[in-house]
Amino acid sequence: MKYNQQLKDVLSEILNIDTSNFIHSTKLLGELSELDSMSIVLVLIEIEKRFSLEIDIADLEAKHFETFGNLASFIKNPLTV
Amino acid sequence: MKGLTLSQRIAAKTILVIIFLFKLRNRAARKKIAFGIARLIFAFSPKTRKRSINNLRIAMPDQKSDDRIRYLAVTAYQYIVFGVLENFWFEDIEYTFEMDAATKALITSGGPLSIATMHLSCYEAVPFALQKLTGRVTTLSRVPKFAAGLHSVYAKNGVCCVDKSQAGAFLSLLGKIGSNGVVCLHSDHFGSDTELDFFQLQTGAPAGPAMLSAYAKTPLLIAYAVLQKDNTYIIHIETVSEFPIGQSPKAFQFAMQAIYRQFETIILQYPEQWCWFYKRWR
Repeated sequence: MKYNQQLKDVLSEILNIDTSNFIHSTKLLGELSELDSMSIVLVLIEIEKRFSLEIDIADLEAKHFETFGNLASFIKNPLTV
Repeated sequence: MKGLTLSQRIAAKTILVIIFLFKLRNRAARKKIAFGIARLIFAFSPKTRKRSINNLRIAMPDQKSDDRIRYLAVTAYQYIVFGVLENFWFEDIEYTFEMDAATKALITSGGPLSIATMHLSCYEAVPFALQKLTGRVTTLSRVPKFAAGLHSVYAKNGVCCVDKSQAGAFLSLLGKIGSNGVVCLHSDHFGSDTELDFFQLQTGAPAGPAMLSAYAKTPLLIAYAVLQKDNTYIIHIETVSEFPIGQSPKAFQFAMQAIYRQFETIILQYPEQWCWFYKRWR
Protein backbone atom coordinates (compact mmCIF):
# COMPACT_ATOMS: atom_id res chain seq x y z
CA MET A 1 0.00 0.00 0.00
CA LYS A 2 2.83 2.34 0.92
CA TYR A 3 4.48 1.75 -2.44
CA ASN A 4 1.23 2.43 -4.27
CA GLN A 5 0.58 5.69 -2.45
CA GLN A 6 4.13 6.89 -3.03
CA LEU A 7 3.82 6.03 -6.70
CA LYS A 8 0.52 7.89 -6.93
CA ASP A 9 2.25 10.90 -5.38
CA VAL A 10 5.05 10.73 -7.94
CA LEU A 11 2.63 10.51 -10.87
CA SER A 12 0.45 13.25 -9.45
CA GLU A 13 3.39 15.61 -8.98
CA ILE A 14 5.09 14.98 -12.32
CA LEU A 15 1.98 14.74 -14.48
CA ASN A 16 0.03 17.31 -12.51
CA ILE A 17 -3.09 15.12 -12.37
CA ASP A 18 -5.34 13.64 -9.70
CA THR A 19 -4.24 10.06 -9.08
CA SER A 20 -6.30 9.39 -5.94
CA ASN A 21 -8.68 7.05 -7.76
CA PHE A 22 -5.95 5.08 -9.55
CA ILE A 23 -6.33 1.33 -9.16
CA HIS A 24 -4.24 -1.62 -10.35
CA SER A 25 -5.91 -1.67 -13.78
CA THR A 26 -5.82 2.08 -14.45
CA LYS A 27 -4.29 2.53 -17.87
CA LEU A 28 -1.33 4.88 -18.20
CA LEU A 29 0.56 4.65 -21.49
CA GLY A 30 -1.55 5.64 -24.47
CA GLU A 31 -4.33 6.76 -22.16
CA LEU A 32 -2.83 9.69 -20.23
CA SER A 33 -1.87 12.44 -22.66
CA GLU A 34 0.32 13.92 -19.91
CA LEU A 35 2.57 10.85 -20.02
CA ASP A 36 4.88 11.95 -22.84
CA SER A 37 8.58 11.16 -23.24
CA MET A 38 9.63 14.04 -20.98
CA SER A 39 7.32 12.98 -18.16
CA ILE A 40 8.33 9.32 -18.50
CA VAL A 41 11.94 10.30 -17.88
CA LEU A 42 10.99 12.58 -14.99
CA VAL A 43 8.81 9.86 -13.45
CA LEU A 44 11.67 7.37 -13.69
CA ILE A 45 14.14 9.82 -12.15
CA GLU A 46 11.72 10.58 -9.30
CA ILE A 47 10.97 6.89 -8.71
CA GLU A 48 14.69 6.18 -8.35
CA LYS A 49 15.00 9.01 -5.83
CA ARG A 50 11.90 8.20 -3.76
CA PHE A 51 12.32 4.45 -3.72
CA SER A 52 16.12 4.54 -3.47
CA LEU A 53 16.54 2.12 -6.33
CA GLU A 54 18.37 2.08 -9.60
CA ILE A 55 16.29 0.83 -12.49
CA ASP A 56 18.13 -1.25 -15.05
CA ILE A 57 17.20 0.67 -18.18
CA ALA A 58 17.82 -2.35 -20.38
CA ASP A 59 14.87 -4.05 -18.65
CA LEU A 60 12.49 -1.19 -19.40
CA GLU A 61 9.59 -1.97 -21.71
CA ALA A 62 6.36 -0.26 -22.66
CA LYS A 63 4.39 -2.88 -20.71
CA HIS A 64 5.82 -1.52 -17.45
CA PHE A 65 3.94 1.73 -18.09
CA GLU A 66 0.79 0.10 -19.47
CA THR A 67 -1.13 0.22 -16.19
CA PHE A 68 -0.64 1.61 -12.73
CA GLY A 69 -0.42 -1.94 -11.42
CA ASN A 70 2.35 -2.86 -13.83
CA LEU A 71 4.38 0.17 -12.87
CA ALA A 72 3.88 -0.52 -9.16
CA SER A 73 4.93 -4.15 -9.62
CA PHE A 74 7.96 -3.09 -11.65
CA ILE A 75 9.11 -0.81 -8.84
CA LYS A 76 8.57 -3.46 -6.18
CA ASN A 77 10.46 -6.02 -8.18
CA PRO A 78 11.83 -4.82 -11.52
CA LEU A 79 12.58 -8.34 -12.68
CA THR A 80 9.18 -9.96 -12.17
CA VAL A 81 6.90 -7.86 -14.40
CA MET B 1 1.90 -4.84 -47.52
CA LYS B 2 -0.39 -6.37 -44.89
CA GLY B 3 -2.96 -4.03 -43.36
CA LEU B 4 -2.70 -1.46 -46.15
CA THR B 5 -5.69 -0.05 -48.03
CA LEU B 6 -5.80 -0.45 -51.81
CA SER B 7 -4.57 3.10 -52.41
CA GLN B 8 -1.74 2.62 -49.88
CA ARG B 9 -0.75 -0.62 -51.61
CA ILE B 10 -0.73 1.14 -54.98
CA ALA B 11 1.40 3.97 -53.53
CA ALA B 12 3.79 1.46 -51.96
CA LYS B 13 4.15 -0.47 -55.22
CA THR B 14 4.63 2.77 -57.17
CA ILE B 15 7.50 3.76 -54.87
CA LEU B 16 9.14 0.37 -55.42
CA VAL B 17 8.83 0.75 -59.22
CA ILE B 18 10.28 4.28 -59.09
CA ILE B 19 13.23 3.07 -57.00
CA PHE B 20 13.77 0.16 -59.39
CA LEU B 21 13.86 2.56 -62.34
CA PHE B 22 16.28 4.88 -60.56
CA LYS B 23 18.57 1.97 -59.75
CA LEU B 24 18.95 1.19 -63.44
CA ARG B 25 21.05 4.38 -63.72
CA ASN B 26 24.32 5.39 -62.09
CA ARG B 27 24.28 7.74 -59.10
CA ALA B 28 25.16 10.86 -61.05
CA ALA B 29 22.21 10.22 -63.37
CA ARG B 30 19.94 9.42 -60.42
CA LYS B 31 20.89 12.74 -58.87
CA LYS B 32 20.19 14.63 -62.09
CA ILE B 33 16.78 12.99 -62.48
CA ALA B 34 15.89 13.48 -58.78
CA PHE B 35 16.88 17.14 -58.96
CA GLY B 36 14.74 17.59 -62.09
CA ILE B 37 11.71 15.93 -60.53
CA ALA B 38 12.18 17.93 -57.32
CA ARG B 39 12.34 21.21 -59.25
CA LEU B 40 9.10 20.29 -60.99
CA ILE B 41 7.30 19.34 -57.77
CA PHE B 42 8.56 22.50 -56.10
CA ALA B 43 7.27 24.65 -58.96
CA PHE B 44 3.78 23.22 -58.51
CA SER B 45 3.74 23.36 -54.69
CA PRO B 46 2.98 26.97 -53.69
CA LYS B 47 2.64 26.16 -49.97
CA THR B 48 5.98 24.36 -49.88
CA ARG B 49 7.61 27.22 -51.76
CA LYS B 50 6.11 29.88 -49.51
CA ARG B 51 7.07 28.01 -46.34
CA SER B 52 10.64 27.48 -47.52
CA ILE B 53 11.06 31.14 -48.39
CA ASN B 54 9.54 32.26 -45.07
CA ASN B 55 11.87 29.96 -43.13
CA LEU B 56 14.88 31.18 -45.09
CA ARG B 57 13.96 34.79 -44.32
CA ILE B 58 13.74 33.94 -40.59
CA ALA B 59 17.18 32.34 -40.60
CA MET B 60 18.82 34.84 -42.92
CA PRO B 61 17.31 38.26 -42.16
CA ASP B 62 20.35 39.98 -43.68
CA GLN B 63 19.96 38.22 -47.01
CA LYS B 64 18.47 40.94 -49.24
CA SER B 65 18.62 39.06 -52.51
CA ASP B 66 15.30 37.42 -53.39
CA ASP B 67 17.08 35.44 -56.10
CA ARG B 68 19.45 33.95 -53.53
CA ILE B 69 16.54 33.03 -51.22
CA ARG B 70 14.60 31.43 -54.08
CA TYR B 71 17.74 29.58 -55.22
CA LEU B 72 18.30 28.17 -51.72
CA ALA B 73 14.64 27.17 -51.38
CA VAL B 74 14.57 25.12 -54.58
CA THR B 75 18.09 23.72 -54.20
CA ALA B 76 17.43 22.55 -50.65
CA TYR B 77 14.27 20.84 -51.84
CA GLN B 78 16.29 19.07 -54.54
CA TYR B 79 18.90 17.88 -52.03
CA ILE B 80 16.25 16.57 -49.64
CA VAL B 81 14.32 14.71 -52.36
CA PHE B 82 17.55 13.16 -53.61
CA GLY B 83 18.59 12.42 -50.02
CA VAL B 84 15.37 10.52 -49.30
CA LEU B 85 15.87 8.44 -52.46
CA GLU B 86 19.48 7.76 -51.48
CA ASN B 87 18.19 5.75 -48.49
CA PHE B 88 17.03 3.08 -50.94
CA TRP B 89 20.50 2.50 -52.40
CA PHE B 90 22.68 3.39 -49.43
CA GLU B 91 24.91 0.38 -50.18
CA ASP B 92 26.04 2.25 -53.35
CA ILE B 93 27.13 5.33 -51.41
CA GLU B 94 30.67 6.21 -50.43
CA TYR B 95 31.18 8.18 -47.26
CA THR B 96 33.88 9.14 -44.80
CA PHE B 97 33.69 10.20 -41.17
CA GLU B 98 35.06 13.42 -39.82
CA MET B 99 35.52 13.79 -36.07
CA ASP B 100 38.16 14.87 -33.60
CA ALA B 101 40.21 12.45 -31.52
CA ALA B 102 38.07 12.82 -28.39
CA THR B 103 34.88 12.08 -30.31
CA LYS B 104 36.51 9.13 -32.03
CA ALA B 105 37.46 7.76 -28.62
CA LEU B 106 33.81 7.98 -27.51
CA ILE B 107 32.56 6.32 -30.70
CA THR B 108 35.03 3.47 -30.48
CA SER B 109 34.65 3.01 -26.71
CA GLY B 110 31.81 0.55 -27.22
CA GLY B 111 29.63 2.38 -24.71
CA PRO B 112 26.10 3.73 -25.14
CA LEU B 113 25.74 7.04 -26.98
CA SER B 114 22.99 9.57 -27.48
CA ILE B 115 23.28 11.36 -30.83
CA ALA B 116 21.28 14.32 -32.09
CA THR B 117 21.12 14.45 -35.85
CA MET B 118 19.39 16.71 -38.35
CA HIS B 119 17.49 16.87 -41.64
CA LEU B 120 20.45 17.68 -43.84
CA SER B 121 20.77 16.09 -47.32
CA CYS B 122 20.45 12.28 -46.93
CA TYR B 123 19.34 12.50 -43.34
CA GLU B 124 19.29 8.76 -42.66
CA ALA B 125 22.94 8.54 -43.76
CA VAL B 126 23.97 9.19 -40.15
CA PRO B 127 22.29 6.15 -38.56
CA PHE B 128 23.14 3.94 -41.56
CA ALA B 129 26.81 4.91 -41.60
CA LEU B 130 27.11 4.78 -37.81
CA GLN B 131 25.62 1.30 -37.87
CA LYS B 132 28.53 0.18 -40.04
CA LEU B 133 30.91 1.74 -37.53
CA THR B 134 29.31 0.61 -34.26
CA GLY B 135 26.86 -2.19 -35.09
CA ARG B 136 24.22 -1.15 -32.54
CA VAL B 137 22.28 1.84 -33.88
CA THR B 138 18.63 2.59 -33.15
CA THR B 139 16.64 5.45 -34.60
CA LEU B 140 13.09 6.75 -34.37
CA SER B 141 10.85 7.38 -37.35
CA ARG B 142 7.23 7.77 -38.30
CA VAL B 143 7.10 5.97 -41.62
CA PRO B 144 3.81 6.60 -43.45
CA LYS B 145 1.88 3.43 -44.32
CA PHE B 146 2.23 4.05 -48.07
CA ALA B 147 6.02 4.13 -47.61
CA ALA B 148 6.08 0.88 -45.64
CA GLY B 149 9.02 -0.22 -47.82
CA LEU B 150 11.19 2.23 -45.88
CA HIS B 151 11.06 -0.12 -42.88
CA SER B 152 12.89 -2.72 -44.93
CA VAL B 153 15.50 -0.08 -45.79
CA TYR B 154 16.29 0.32 -42.10
CA ALA B 155 16.42 -3.45 -41.69
CA LYS B 156 18.65 -3.81 -44.77
CA ASN B 157 21.12 -1.39 -43.19
CA GLY B 158 20.95 -3.20 -39.85
CA VAL B 159 19.39 -0.23 -38.05
CA CYS B 160 16.66 -0.80 -35.49
CA CYS B 161 13.87 1.67 -36.27
CA VAL B 162 11.41 2.38 -33.48
CA ASP B 163 8.02 3.48 -34.77
CA LYS B 164 7.39 6.96 -33.43
CA SER B 165 3.62 6.48 -33.43
CA GLN B 166 3.68 3.46 -31.11
CA ALA B 167 2.81 4.00 -27.46
CA GLY B 168 5.94 3.72 -25.39
CA ALA B 169 8.32 4.48 -28.27
CA PHE B 170 10.55 6.44 -25.91
CA LEU B 171 10.71 3.49 -23.52
CA SER B 172 11.96 1.36 -26.40
CA LEU B 173 14.71 3.93 -27.01
CA LEU B 174 15.60 3.86 -23.31
CA GLY B 175 15.76 0.08 -23.46
CA LYS B 176 18.07 0.23 -26.48
CA ILE B 177 20.46 2.80 -25.02
CA GLY B 178 20.38 0.87 -21.74
CA SER B 179 21.61 -2.16 -23.66
CA ASN B 180 24.69 -0.28 -24.81
CA GLY B 181 22.97 1.09 -27.90
CA VAL B 182 23.78 4.10 -30.04
CA VAL B 183 20.55 6.07 -30.40
CA CYS B 184 20.34 8.62 -33.24
CA LEU B 185 17.42 11.03 -33.08
CA HIS B 186 16.55 13.71 -35.62
CA SER B 187 16.26 16.73 -33.38
CA ASP B 188 15.99 19.83 -35.57
CA HIS B 189 12.25 19.55 -36.18
CA PHE B 190 9.52 21.14 -34.06
CA GLY B 191 8.79 19.41 -30.77
CA SER B 192 7.03 20.09 -27.51
CA ASP B 193 9.60 18.78 -25.02
CA THR B 194 11.36 22.07 -24.42
CA GLU B 195 11.45 25.74 -25.41
CA LEU B 196 14.51 27.30 -26.97
CA ASP B 197 15.80 29.98 -29.27
CA PHE B 198 16.39 29.03 -32.91
CA PHE B 199 17.57 31.75 -35.26
CA GLN B 200 16.45 34.41 -32.78
CA LEU B 201 12.90 33.03 -32.50
CA GLN B 202 11.43 31.18 -29.52
CA THR B 203 10.19 27.75 -30.53
CA GLY B 204 9.48 24.26 -29.27
CA ALA B 205 11.96 21.45 -29.78
CA PRO B 206 12.39 17.78 -28.97
CA ALA B 207 14.69 16.96 -26.06
CA GLY B 208 15.07 13.22 -26.67
CA PRO B 209 18.87 13.19 -27.04
CA ALA B 210 19.36 15.21 -23.84
CA MET B 211 16.89 13.06 -21.89
CA LEU B 212 18.53 9.84 -23.05
CA SER B 213 21.96 11.18 -22.13
CA ALA B 214 20.67 12.22 -18.70
CA TYR B 215 18.83 9.08 -17.78
CA ALA B 216 21.12 6.50 -19.40
CA LYS B 217 24.18 8.51 -18.30
CA THR B 218 25.80 8.68 -21.72
CA PRO B 219 27.80 11.26 -23.65
CA LEU B 220 25.81 13.53 -25.97
CA LEU B 221 26.91 14.00 -29.59
CA ILE B 222 25.80 15.69 -32.81
CA ALA B 223 26.12 14.00 -36.21
CA TYR B 224 25.14 15.17 -39.70
CA ALA B 225 25.77 14.16 -43.30
CA VAL B 226 26.89 16.58 -46.01
CA LEU B 227 26.79 15.68 -49.70
CA GLN B 228 30.01 16.61 -51.48
CA LYS B 229 30.51 17.74 -55.08
CA ASP B 230 31.84 14.29 -55.98
CA ASN B 231 28.58 12.76 -54.64
CA THR B 232 30.24 11.18 -51.61
CA TYR B 233 29.13 12.07 -48.10
CA ILE B 234 31.07 13.32 -45.14
CA ILE B 235 29.52 12.23 -41.86
CA HIS B 236 30.50 14.84 -39.29
CA ILE B 237 30.40 13.80 -35.64
CA GLU B 238 30.97 16.26 -32.80
CA THR B 239 30.87 15.97 -29.03
CA VAL B 240 28.38 18.22 -27.24
CA SER B 241 29.07 16.78 -23.80
CA GLU B 242 31.47 14.03 -22.88
CA PHE B 243 29.51 13.63 -19.63
CA PRO B 244 25.83 12.86 -19.04
CA ILE B 245 23.39 15.76 -19.06
CA GLY B 246 21.88 16.77 -15.69
CA GLN B 247 18.59 15.15 -14.71
CA SER B 248 16.22 18.12 -14.85
CA PRO B 249 14.09 19.87 -17.49
CA LYS B 250 16.36 22.94 -17.16
CA ALA B 251 19.42 20.83 -17.92
CA PHE B 252 17.64 19.26 -20.92
CA GLN B 253 16.75 22.71 -22.20
CA PHE B 254 20.30 23.98 -21.74
CA ALA B 255 21.74 20.99 -23.62
CA MET B 256 19.24 21.28 -26.47
CA GLN B 257 19.94 25.00 -26.76
CA ALA B 258 23.65 24.21 -27.11
CA ILE B 259 22.78 21.67 -29.81
CA TYR B 260 20.58 24.21 -31.60
CA ARG B 261 23.36 26.81 -31.53
CA GLN B 262 25.50 24.27 -33.37
CA PHE B 263 22.61 23.44 -35.73
CA GLU B 264 22.39 27.13 -36.67
CA THR B 265 26.07 27.19 -37.57
CA ILE B 266 25.77 23.99 -39.63
CA ILE B 267 22.64 25.18 -41.43
CA LEU B 268 24.23 28.50 -42.36
CA GLN B 269 27.29 26.61 -43.58
CA TYR B 270 25.20 24.28 -45.78
CA PRO B 271 21.94 26.17 -46.37
CA GLU B 272 21.34 24.44 -49.70
CA GLN B 273 21.14 21.04 -47.96
CA TRP B 274 18.80 21.70 -45.02
CA CYS B 275 15.09 20.90 -45.04
CA TRP B 276 13.63 24.42 -45.29
CA PHE B 277 10.15 23.43 -46.47
CA TYR B 278 9.08 22.03 -43.10
CA LYS B 279 6.91 24.20 -40.84
CA ARG B 280 9.64 24.59 -38.23
CA TRP B 281 8.49 27.65 -36.29
CA ARG B 282 4.97 27.22 -34.89
